[in-house]
Amino acid sequence: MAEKSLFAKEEAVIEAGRNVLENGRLREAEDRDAFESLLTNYQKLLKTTRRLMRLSDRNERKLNEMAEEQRLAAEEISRKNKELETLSNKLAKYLSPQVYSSIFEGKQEVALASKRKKLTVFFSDIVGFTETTDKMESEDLTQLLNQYLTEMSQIAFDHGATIDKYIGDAIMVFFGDPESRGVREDALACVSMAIAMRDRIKELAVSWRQAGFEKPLTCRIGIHTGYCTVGNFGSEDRMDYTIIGGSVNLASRLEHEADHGGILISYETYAHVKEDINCEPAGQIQVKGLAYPITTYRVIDQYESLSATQQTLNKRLLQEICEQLAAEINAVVSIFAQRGEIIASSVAERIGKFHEGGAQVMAGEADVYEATADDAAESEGMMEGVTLPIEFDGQRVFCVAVAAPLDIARQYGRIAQHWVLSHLKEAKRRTSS
Amino acid sequence: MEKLEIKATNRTPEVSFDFDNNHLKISGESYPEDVTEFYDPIFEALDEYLGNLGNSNCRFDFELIYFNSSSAKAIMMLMDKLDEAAEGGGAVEVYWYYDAEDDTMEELGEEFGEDLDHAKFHLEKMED
Repeated sequence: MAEKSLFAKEEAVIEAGRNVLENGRLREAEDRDAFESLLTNYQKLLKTTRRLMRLSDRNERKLNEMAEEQRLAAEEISRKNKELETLSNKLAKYLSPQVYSSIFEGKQEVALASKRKKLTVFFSDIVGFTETTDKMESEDLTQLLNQYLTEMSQIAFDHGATIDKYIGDAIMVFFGDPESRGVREDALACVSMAIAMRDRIKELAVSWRQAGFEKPLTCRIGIHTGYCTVGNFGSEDRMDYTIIGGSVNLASRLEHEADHGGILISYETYAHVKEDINCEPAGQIQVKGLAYPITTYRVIDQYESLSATQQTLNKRLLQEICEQLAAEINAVVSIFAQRGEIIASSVAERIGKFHEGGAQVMAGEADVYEATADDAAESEGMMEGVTLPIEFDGQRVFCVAVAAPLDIARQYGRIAQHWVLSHLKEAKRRTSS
Repeated sequence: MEKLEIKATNRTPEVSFDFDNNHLKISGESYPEDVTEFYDPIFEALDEYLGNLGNSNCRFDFELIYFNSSSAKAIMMLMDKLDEAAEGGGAVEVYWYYDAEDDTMEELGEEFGEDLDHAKFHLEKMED
């Protein structure tokens, strides 16, 4: 509606007012002046109203323009956000997921800064990789290496590792930062990850052989738990989130010392995992820069994986062995599993209890444990006698204990060891056939 | 007379009435939730000042970026008061500053200026 017609009524009022004045219908000068003043103010009021309406219309147009600009800006922001998301997803592949999340969630500052923290550090590399690379076409090598690193990274990710870096065929990861489940749990997660990697490489070796790779890859793994300096190192423009320190060097050195396909861990790591991981002593090594020798352990497997063997030889069989042997040699015979748990015994009430000597032998800390009459007198539940390991399929699966005066127990201990072992072998043969 | 200073908010303009130096200024954006509540103290102070102006000089600067219809009515009242003071003998000068890229504010300045019969009106571009 045009403004003119919008105010037609007001215009008509003004017109009528003017007519009143012009026609001289108001005879009294006082009345005429008052009417004229009223008309002038009415005209002014109409002018103000018109101006306010124009301003209101202008503002409305401006608001619409701004709303349109805002809509376009929101579209642009949304497009930019998508671009950034795509870009950050690409960048994320260059960072460990934990490091990426802690930066993006604002928990971690992107600045040159570091802190001391107890971490479990892992190094692995492919045995004879340089030699392998010389013999392979680069396309095959790329495929092999990428498959290997992808598989290993997935296992590392599943175990919560922070992947520090790949150095060619070598992998460096650590546990305990930016997230930690506690030093013991971190160490256990790291060794469990190493076992999973070792097992997966064995599976991959079969497919690699089938794919025509003459010498499939085997790896060496070294693990150490100790204080490291963790943080951002480099320059303000280009930094790496990594760890440094003697513990890192020691883990690397353990990796160099490991057997082909083996996992070598330091005593510090062993101390945290020995309850859950079966390890055996692997001697001491000298490390450059360290005044003292490092005690090392070779990782065999998770205890729970060993139970497969044990389960085939059920407790009833072990109980029969104990009872028969006890009757033959006239002594108390018991069999211990992990952590020294008594799982069979010629004295039924001992079953379910834990034996300190058995725990030491099972953990690989000793190859024989002897308890004297004095030891037995001092410790409740302990009996004079010997405890010996039962090694089966290359693993320490049980211990057998003969409780008798030491001189007799020593003689019968070896016989009991052979007796149990031969029964286990026979049981396994029957199970597999 | 004591200065009247009101700081700007995101809905109301800055008010700086330096009565002793006869320099009054209102700047920024004006779309208060309650226009009467905001402008009443301003009118009151201005009435007191202009009532005593006599033949003295007075300069009033409008430096507005945006205002709504209610504020426009308040501005017209300010203009009326200034024009009346000029009619009463005061040497009143009104400066209307507008952003060089804002045609609306320039046009509004022109319209408001036309209403002034006695005060001297200046339409000026804002300096960056």
